[in-house]
Amino acid sequence: MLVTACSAFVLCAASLSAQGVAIDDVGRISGSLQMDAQTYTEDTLIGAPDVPEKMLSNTFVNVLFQRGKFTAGLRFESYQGPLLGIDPRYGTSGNGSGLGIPYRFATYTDDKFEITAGNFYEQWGTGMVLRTYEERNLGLDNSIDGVRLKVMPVEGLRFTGFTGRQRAFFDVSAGTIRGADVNADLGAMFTDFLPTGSWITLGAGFVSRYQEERDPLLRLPQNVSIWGARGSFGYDAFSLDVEYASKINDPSPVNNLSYNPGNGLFVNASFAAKGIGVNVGMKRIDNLDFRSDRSAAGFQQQVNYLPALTKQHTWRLITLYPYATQPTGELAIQADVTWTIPKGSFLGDDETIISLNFSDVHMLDTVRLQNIRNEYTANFWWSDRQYYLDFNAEVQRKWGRTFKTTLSYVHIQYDKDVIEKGLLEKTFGIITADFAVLELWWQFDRNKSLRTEFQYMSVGHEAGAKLDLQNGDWVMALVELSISPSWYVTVFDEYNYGNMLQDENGEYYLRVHYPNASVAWVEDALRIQAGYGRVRGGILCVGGICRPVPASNGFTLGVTYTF
Amino acid sequence: MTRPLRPLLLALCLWVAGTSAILSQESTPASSQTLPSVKLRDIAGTTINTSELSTTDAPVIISFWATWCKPCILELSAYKDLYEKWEKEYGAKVVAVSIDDARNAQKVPGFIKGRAWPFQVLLDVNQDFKRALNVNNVPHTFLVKNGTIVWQHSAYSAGDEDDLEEELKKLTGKGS
Repeated sequence: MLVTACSAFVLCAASLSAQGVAIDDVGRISGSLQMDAQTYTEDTLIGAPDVPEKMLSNTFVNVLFQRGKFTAGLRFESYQGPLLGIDPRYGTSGNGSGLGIPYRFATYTDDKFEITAGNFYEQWGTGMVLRTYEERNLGLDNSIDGVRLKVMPVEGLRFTGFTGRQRAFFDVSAGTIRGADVNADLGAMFTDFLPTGSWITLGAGFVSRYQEERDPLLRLPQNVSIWGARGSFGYDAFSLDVEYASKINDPSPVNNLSYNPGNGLFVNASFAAKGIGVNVGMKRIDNLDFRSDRSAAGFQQQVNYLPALTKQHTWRLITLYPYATQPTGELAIQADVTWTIPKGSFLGDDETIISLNFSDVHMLDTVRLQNIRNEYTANFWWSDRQYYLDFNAEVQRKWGRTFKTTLSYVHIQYDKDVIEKGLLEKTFGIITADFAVLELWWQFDRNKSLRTEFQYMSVGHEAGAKLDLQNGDWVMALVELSISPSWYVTVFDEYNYGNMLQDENGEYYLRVHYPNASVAWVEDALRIQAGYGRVRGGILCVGGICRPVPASNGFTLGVTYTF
Repeated sequence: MTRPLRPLLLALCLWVAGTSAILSQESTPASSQTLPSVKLRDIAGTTINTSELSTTDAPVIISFWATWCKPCILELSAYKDLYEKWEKEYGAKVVAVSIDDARNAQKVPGFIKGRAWPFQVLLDVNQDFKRALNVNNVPHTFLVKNGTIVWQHSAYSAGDEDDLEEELKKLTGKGS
């Protein structure tokens, strides 16, 4: 032991003295930093709470070391304390300091195999069986801490196996998980097997969890497994993706302790040729929530990933009503079209891009068996209970190189009780939102551009429905000035002018403005942003997923850097 | 030496190695990082090794983007207008790396072709390539030559493409 440690130190010292020779002798170091800090002022009007710390911050520093076939990395994280909306357990778990290195790994990659020890991210197919990933802006990191082996015996064929525990804040999950997957790209495995411009990829995966059963009343399965099969087929402009997954019974708080098995089916067909793209999809999910700790909820310790089959909106006002998959059961369909009317058509010398999207999500058609095991039977197709409906259209038009306009319309029907609370009983009811935006973008100088958005959203509530703090009609205006390559100045205001809540004097006291202003400065890979905002409570979506964020009022500072 | 000291020593060793790397930045700038090797699929179903994206002197622009990222779309639309010129004058190519996850990845081919973008498009659904290059947010663009990163920029505002073109001129010694 002493000898190894000493020799490591000697090697280390040798590398230091050799620093002048070439960095390649040591290896390469790279990394990144992200820091977000915010001050909080109590704002009772919008429901922004008093924060005793006055200022909270999240910081992430990644360091990667690479030499030849060897890569090692770690991520230092600091939550002092976690920003509001991020799970507070980041500040209390582990040793409770909110500081630590919850992610570190070493990987050796060869042509035919790869070994990883430590934390890793893995995804099979669309993630219906397994997806571990990090979305730090949502406080989500479900990386697996363990060992992973990949073997690629021939071109196009890959076997993956792993065992470990998922990250749970600064601890690991109570359950252990292990899995195996095979992925075969037939076109790469057998040359000349397929015609040019076509592909067939097949795969199958299996994951199992072991967690001790200590329930005083119920007999819960200690080993729970999920398996799935998938295929991706392409020819010329056409492609078809199919995935099916099945899971054994796994009573948990998320599925109301139901002993039903689970399954999922996803089918997507697309056509993409120059100037036109069409995509149609269907997804059916029945009791497919799977976690490495059966008592976990929210986005903690999720093993699989069930994204919504709906458009991910980014216009600020309409993000008040985003959809998230109901893992207990739903059937969703979606169609999406992108079409470019080229230059020189009947619409003139510039191109016009049209996007259309439609999605409809319903509850499954189920019959409860009224037994202690909380079982049910489910038909394949959906029931009348609609969770979400979205129709949207967007037209983007260029007017020469320096002027662009975007006009967008969205119609949404949103079952707030189911989507936000997971309850079938109607309290908030169905919310109907009609949204329109006009965006103007003008590059008025070689390196200066101005962007404005005017958004309007009319919101209808069912008669007699309970109202949340945010309700009724909204308008928003945004102005953004960019000076390439370094400066961004953004000012916007959201105004809930149609809020219907009244105080005891009959006044509409919540018809308030939510002003925001920020300045960002960018130099190559460094970005610093400072701002002030009164932020409405609501749901923040990053990437494919969303989390509720409470209302807040305060100054923000954000820094990112890549080195 | 007791057992708990060993990880400490290893950590120290890593730190020293790290410091020496940072200290020697003058002779080897941080941006001289080489392209890591990650296997990704393109939208035609072919598996591409990212370390093979740039193997010659011809400049390669690698731009990380997502279908839900508005500045990314502005950036790539600007590149689209200049692509023919960049290809002809500097022999440059653009690789657009989508970090869309399973929710949107299926829509990427339609999104790209529907907009008639001429770039090679890679799907980084598990964000392995994004992590390997330490990308925090999209858009984030790298300029690569001979497998070595020579320039990078995060965020996009109109006019950034002119700076990129300046870099292309510097790199190739071509153009007016």
